[in-house]
Amino acid sequence: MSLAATGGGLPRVGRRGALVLLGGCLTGCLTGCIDTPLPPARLGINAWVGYDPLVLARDRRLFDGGVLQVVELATGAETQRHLRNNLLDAGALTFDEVLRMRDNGLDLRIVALLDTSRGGDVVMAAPRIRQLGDLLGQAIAVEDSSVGTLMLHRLLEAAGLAPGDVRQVNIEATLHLQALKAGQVAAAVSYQPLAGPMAAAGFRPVFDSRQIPGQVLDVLAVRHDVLQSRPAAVDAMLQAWQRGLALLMLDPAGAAESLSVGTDLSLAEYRTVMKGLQFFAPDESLAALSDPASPVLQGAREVGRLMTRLGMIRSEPDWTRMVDTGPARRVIAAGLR
Amino acid sequence: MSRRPSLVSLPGRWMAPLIMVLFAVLASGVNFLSQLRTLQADVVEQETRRLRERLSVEQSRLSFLSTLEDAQQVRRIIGGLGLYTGMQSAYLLAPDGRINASIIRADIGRGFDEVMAQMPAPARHPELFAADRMGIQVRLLEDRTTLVGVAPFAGDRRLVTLVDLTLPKARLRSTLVTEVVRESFLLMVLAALLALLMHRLWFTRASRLVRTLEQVGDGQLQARAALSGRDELASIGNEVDRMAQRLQAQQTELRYLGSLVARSPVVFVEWSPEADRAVRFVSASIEQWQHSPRDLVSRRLSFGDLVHPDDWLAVWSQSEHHRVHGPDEYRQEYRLRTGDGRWIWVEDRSAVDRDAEGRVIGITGILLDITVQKEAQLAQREQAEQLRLFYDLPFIGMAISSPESKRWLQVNDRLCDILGYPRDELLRMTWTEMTPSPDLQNNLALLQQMKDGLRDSYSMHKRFVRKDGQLVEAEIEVRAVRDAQGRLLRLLSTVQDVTERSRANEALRRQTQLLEQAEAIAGLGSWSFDPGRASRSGGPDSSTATSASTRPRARRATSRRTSPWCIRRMWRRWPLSCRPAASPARPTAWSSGATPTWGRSGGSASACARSPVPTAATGSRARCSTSPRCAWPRRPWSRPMPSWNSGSSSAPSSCWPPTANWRPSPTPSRTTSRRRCGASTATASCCRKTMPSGWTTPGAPIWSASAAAWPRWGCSSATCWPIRAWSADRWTSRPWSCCRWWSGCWTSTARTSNAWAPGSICRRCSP
Repeated sequence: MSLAATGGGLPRVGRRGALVLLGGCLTGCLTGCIDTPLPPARLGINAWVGYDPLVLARDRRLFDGGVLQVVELATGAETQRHLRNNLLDAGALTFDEVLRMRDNGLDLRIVALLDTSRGGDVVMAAPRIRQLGDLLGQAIAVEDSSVGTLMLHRLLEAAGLAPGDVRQVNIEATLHLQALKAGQVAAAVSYQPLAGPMAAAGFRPVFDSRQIPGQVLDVLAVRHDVLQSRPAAVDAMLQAWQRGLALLMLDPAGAAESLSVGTDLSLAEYRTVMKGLQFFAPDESLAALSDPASPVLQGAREVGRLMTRLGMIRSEPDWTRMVDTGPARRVIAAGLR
Repeated sequence: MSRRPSLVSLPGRWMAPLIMVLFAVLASGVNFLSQLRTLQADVVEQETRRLRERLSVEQSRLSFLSTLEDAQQVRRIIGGLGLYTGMQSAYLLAPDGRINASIIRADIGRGFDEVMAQMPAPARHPELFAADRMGIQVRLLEDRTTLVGVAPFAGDRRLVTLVDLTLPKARLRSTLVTEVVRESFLLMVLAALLALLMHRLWFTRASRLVRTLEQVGDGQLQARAALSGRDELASIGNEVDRMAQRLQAQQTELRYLGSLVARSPVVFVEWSPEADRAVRFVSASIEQWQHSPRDLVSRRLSFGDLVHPDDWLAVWSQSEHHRVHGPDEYRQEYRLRTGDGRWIWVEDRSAVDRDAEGRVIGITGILLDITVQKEAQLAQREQAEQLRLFYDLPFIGMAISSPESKRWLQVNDRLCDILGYPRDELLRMTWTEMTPSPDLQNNLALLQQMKDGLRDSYSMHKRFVRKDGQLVEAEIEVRAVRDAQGRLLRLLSTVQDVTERSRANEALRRQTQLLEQAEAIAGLGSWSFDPGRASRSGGPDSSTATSASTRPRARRATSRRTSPWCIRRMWRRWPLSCRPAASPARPTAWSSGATPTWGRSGGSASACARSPVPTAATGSRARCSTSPRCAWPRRPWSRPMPSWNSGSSSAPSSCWPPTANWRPSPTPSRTTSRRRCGASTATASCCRKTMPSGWTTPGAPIWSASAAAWPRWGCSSATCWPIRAWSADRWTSRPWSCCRWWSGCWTSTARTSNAWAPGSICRRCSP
């Protein structure tokens, strides 16, 4: 009688099954063990009040801090810098900033529209500038960002001046007040809440985004590699926005009370500023991005053409490669369930 | 009984790689645990250093901005600390403990104690957040997952940070696990490769070897492993092949032997050493006894039941004796019942098989049917017993002696009585040392002829010296026992004591002599007449009957009528053949000289003239006739012959041999006819006697006369007795010198010159 038949070993089929099972268990164990924990995805924002729903969601712990980390940076330029330095996975940026970064080679994808400025971006001028024509020959402080350039361009168009009629001074937004106070510049292209202290210091707005509706658009831009490797984190970003925005709409007073802290704005000022913003919920964002004829996209295309004409970007963007509505669809679907 | 699991429960081709994998995993696990502890300490140290460096940078930057008292800018810088990996919280505390800036905007303006109360328990210790004027302090909380960094600023402000080490530790652990898993995977791959290599090089061949062994174990001895290589496995395979080859050869031989055994009358049996002697094995050859081996092995049939009940106890006792006390090999004979009910005798050569410790492990036996031999043996024993009884008959002495040493090898009681020796003493002696001369020389001569192959038997009359010194006369008959090559092995002898008979003969002779002397003195004659014999044989008719008187023609009818058969012959009337006066022991002290004395009463003068009797002065023919001074020497083979005596008292002393050295020679046989002759019994069957075996006389027996008793003394045994002649210094036997009735005369065929020439005399005596 053979050894195998006498139970000297497992039956042949059993042995093969056991071998396969052992290999599977080993592979599974190895796979599980190799599951390296990832740091939370970092979403960079600047002090722009239009991004405060994300701040509200962070402060109220409306998302998992192990998955998403919302980092408040000083300016949008710093956000762009950290994006380029690969320290951020996503950023809340203006549309024109996204176009410039993509034109520079950074593969960012717009996953959601956050808000559009309706007075939040403003040009603050010294008291001596009584009308726009007085800016002729004056120095204007502009942050080295596209939205500042866009606002300045629209300002000059409104004043009937040429770019050469004024002297553009690149100063970060947080230093504009100092430059104004020092008389270094006659006007500064700023935004809320940085414009609030300027107004408190005696400077007055001469031009704002209400005069160029739909052209100052804030979006959530995500690195393309992060979109592919960490879709859950991207979804968490949208959910954080959604939940923060919902809380903001649900309790505007309470939200304003907690968010106004540290903005150097009073509660009333803060609420006033908030009225100059139009927030996009994820479904609204998805609808706007999915409809090529939507006014938002029309305005965005206009900005693109303008930037191309101004030489700020080399070519008009490819909209199909710049927008990814997948995360918004997943979040909406998850919210419906 | 359940088997306990062990390392050998699995085949080696599975066990070896499994052990290698287990060793790989174990080694990786130990390595993992060893490195994990070290790396966790490294993580704390590394993160501490990084935090200290970051705080140092931020301390410088914030110190510059705080002097400008740009709260907005400071808040943005503090908020930007969130980029630092693991930075949970960052608080810029005012001297009063209020939070000027924080990553969490909602915490701005709150008291740090309030915020600290919401922290995890290990962090709820104010002293952890106390600033040290000496510089940046980094502390590890008790949970070892959080670092607390405190950077002091001018104006008792301080920057407090909490860094979570969970992620760095997890990532480091993940890295370590990845490394360990990679190592384990690599080790397992190597183990698998090694296992595959071992499988190819070892286990495949081992499986082949196992299959070969299984086949060999199943009896397929032609199976061969034929493993190539020179390693240990190949060596084992070669040895297995050699073993199988040897076993195959042995199997062939065993089969051949088995066939031989099956065809042979031998039966092999193996019994258990237990009391029941159960049969473990029995060869198929037992079927010759109509028994089935299966019946015996399966105990349907007990071997003890086959043994004859009368033999079983002895068989069992002997077997037990050898089993307990040895020796281990023994032989038994007993009866065994066959399948058809017959009883056969078997010879059982058994052997007790023992192990190294001497314990009996079995008993084997070789059984052989010896019924024929046994019956022959029994018959032979019975015959031997009969022979022994016959041998021990008290009528005749019998002996077996060695032809070389002449020693008695076997004697019967009668011979012991004859010779007067006890058996034991007699068996230590030789017959030569109790045989006197010249009988000894005669006997040795006959023995030499027997050794030379000239004869197979002989008879003689001889004397033996008894233990008491007396001489005993005997007639012996000796026969040779030879082997297949004709070599003389034994001598079978019969010895008959004839002393009394000799004495009687002597007495009769003396009486006859006295009668003749009386007749001579008285001038009387006497004759006997046998008309039947005379007419039949053509001998002297009745009218010419012998007479002792000087008138030979005288007749005495009355005497003829009344005389018995054997009446002395009248020498004058009928010339007799010259007969040797010699006896087997020729007297040497005869007074008439060294040669036999011849004398006649009325015979030829030349015959007497030839007689070298010293008494020749008076020994002339006439003198012999008229004065028979020469006497016949005694004839030991016959009744006393008539003697020529001078009648004087001195005659015997001069012609008669001294009786001291005289002994009669043996007669050929004892016959009643002879006795009748001697007793003169009137019967026609006198001297009916056949030729004694060994006699070389050609032709028919010389005498077969029955009624014709002519010549009377010629019918006696002496007539045909081998005549012995004195040749040189010894007696020689003349087997052919037998008297025959030839041409109307008794004559002898002997032609011996140095003795006597009876032939011529006889012829001359013929009519």
